[in-house]
Amino acid sequence: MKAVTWQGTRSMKVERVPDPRILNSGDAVIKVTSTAICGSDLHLYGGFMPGMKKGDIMGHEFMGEVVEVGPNVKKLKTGDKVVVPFTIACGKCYHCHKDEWSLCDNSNPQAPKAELLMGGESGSGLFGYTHLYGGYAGGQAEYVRVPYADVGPLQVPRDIDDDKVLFLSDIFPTGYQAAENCNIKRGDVVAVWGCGPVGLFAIKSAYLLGAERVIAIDRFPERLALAETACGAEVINYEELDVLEELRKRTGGHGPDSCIDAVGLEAHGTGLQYAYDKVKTNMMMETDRPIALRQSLYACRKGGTVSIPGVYGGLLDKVPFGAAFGKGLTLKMGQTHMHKYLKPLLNMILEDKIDPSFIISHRIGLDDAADIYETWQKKQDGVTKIVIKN
Amino acid sequence: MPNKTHKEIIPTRPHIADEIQNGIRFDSVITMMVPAEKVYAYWRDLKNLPNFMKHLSSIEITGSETSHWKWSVLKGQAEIEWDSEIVRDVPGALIAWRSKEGSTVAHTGEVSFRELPFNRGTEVRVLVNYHPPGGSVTDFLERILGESPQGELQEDLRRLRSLMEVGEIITVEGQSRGGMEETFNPKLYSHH
Repeated sequence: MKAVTWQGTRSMKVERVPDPRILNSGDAVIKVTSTAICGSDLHLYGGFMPGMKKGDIMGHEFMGEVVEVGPNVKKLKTGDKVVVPFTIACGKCYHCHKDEWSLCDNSNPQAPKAELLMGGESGSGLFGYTHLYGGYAGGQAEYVRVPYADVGPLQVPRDIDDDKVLFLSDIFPTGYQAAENCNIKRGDVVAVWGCGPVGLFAIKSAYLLGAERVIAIDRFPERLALAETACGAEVINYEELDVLEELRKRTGGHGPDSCIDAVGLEAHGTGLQYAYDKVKTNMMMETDRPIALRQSLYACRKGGTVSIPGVYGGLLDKVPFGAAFGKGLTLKMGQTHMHKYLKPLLNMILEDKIDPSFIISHRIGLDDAADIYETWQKKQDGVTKIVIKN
Repeated sequence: MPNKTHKEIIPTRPHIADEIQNGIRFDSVITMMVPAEKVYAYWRDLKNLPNFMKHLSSIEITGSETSHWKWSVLKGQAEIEWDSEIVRDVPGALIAWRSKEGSTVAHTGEVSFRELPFNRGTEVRVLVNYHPPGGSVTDFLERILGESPQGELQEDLRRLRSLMEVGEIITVEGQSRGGMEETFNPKLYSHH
């Protein structure tokens, strides 16, 4: 089969590799019909996340048709149309029982690697997202092996358009959990850093959960336009305005009730602080550039919540913990507990409460997938979301 | 689950491991969401041990309390063997063993199973104490026990947890990746 493989920093390749097969009795193999490139794949492309090896198959957002099931698969059948959650969960451990699916105890076969980073037990395995998260082959391919097939894959109606349900694999639930973590109450103002796909779904979800206003922060006009027109947010272009000052002014002087950092470890910024992080990360003295996180901690109202769906990989510098403490903030973060959201969010789509396909800007074939990483990383060609069709 | 403390279930002292003075001790602990009886029964059926002990290449049951172990060392290049006997057996709670006299690697070990209150699962605690034969301790560690015996003990327990909770240990060995020659899986095409 063909697959997109990681060859090194800023180097992807579409190549022919062995077809996947059943490795554990609970596995299924899926024929991928649609798969997407995630903003967090750019962290791998750019070499920001440790734990990639040459030849790793990329991709954690995918859906398709079941073509083979292992001997212990009871529910899933050949021919089923499924969306696969990007977090891999066993369904039997302490954390799965607690609905904390992305913290599954059993799904990372390379857990000791993650434990060095976490200082404790590893979280769940992820598709196509470094050997710290298990080293699973991803879904930017013609076929993909899916473990715990009775636990993860969500069956969707055969006649529904892939584009409407594909983002149940990651970014819609991720944006939704980010908003849910804000504990939104009537009248709340929510600020969202980053108007990439997760940020956009966080805006939509914040409104679905009852936010009065959402203020979105980015620097790219096409993203801000989507946030404004498709999602109904007020916007701030951080290259034109002082974000903290602007947020204070727009919220009666006290700051947003909740802040969502949908940017993560590769944030861009302006001025001295950004220069500081660039130098420190380049010298390997800091692994992440937490500019959006810093701003969200400074901006948030006393007693508010900062919710962090943006990915962080290591050690952060100059995080204003004093501000977080002084204002009594609540911090919520982590990978998405995907399995918890699949059915409720599918129902929202089936009830026409939301159509996630609005974020798609590019539809391409697998053969063009390697080159488009560069296009997206350089934020060229108005990319908001790339879907690969097989 | 019973709301008892460890001490109410089994006396914790003396550890069988304490029989060896100045030994090389390793201990590890893990918690799993199954009843203590289930883990105890699985462990006590000694032929199951190679399913999760990575270096245990085979075990032969030689009597109700005795068994013969073959342990892979030097990254699989060699094997050492010994006879072991169970010296304490508290069903559902504890198994303790020691190597029989004349073993290459004299050691004692024990595993205890403690069910936690409020459905928090069963804590499985292992303590192994090796009696170093002559030579330096470091040399012994590297040759016999591998590079990271503590880490490997933890890994063994993690595999046990997967077996107990899921019934299987997940793997990525044998999956496709770049740089390999293309092969075809006929089952993927058969239904069309």
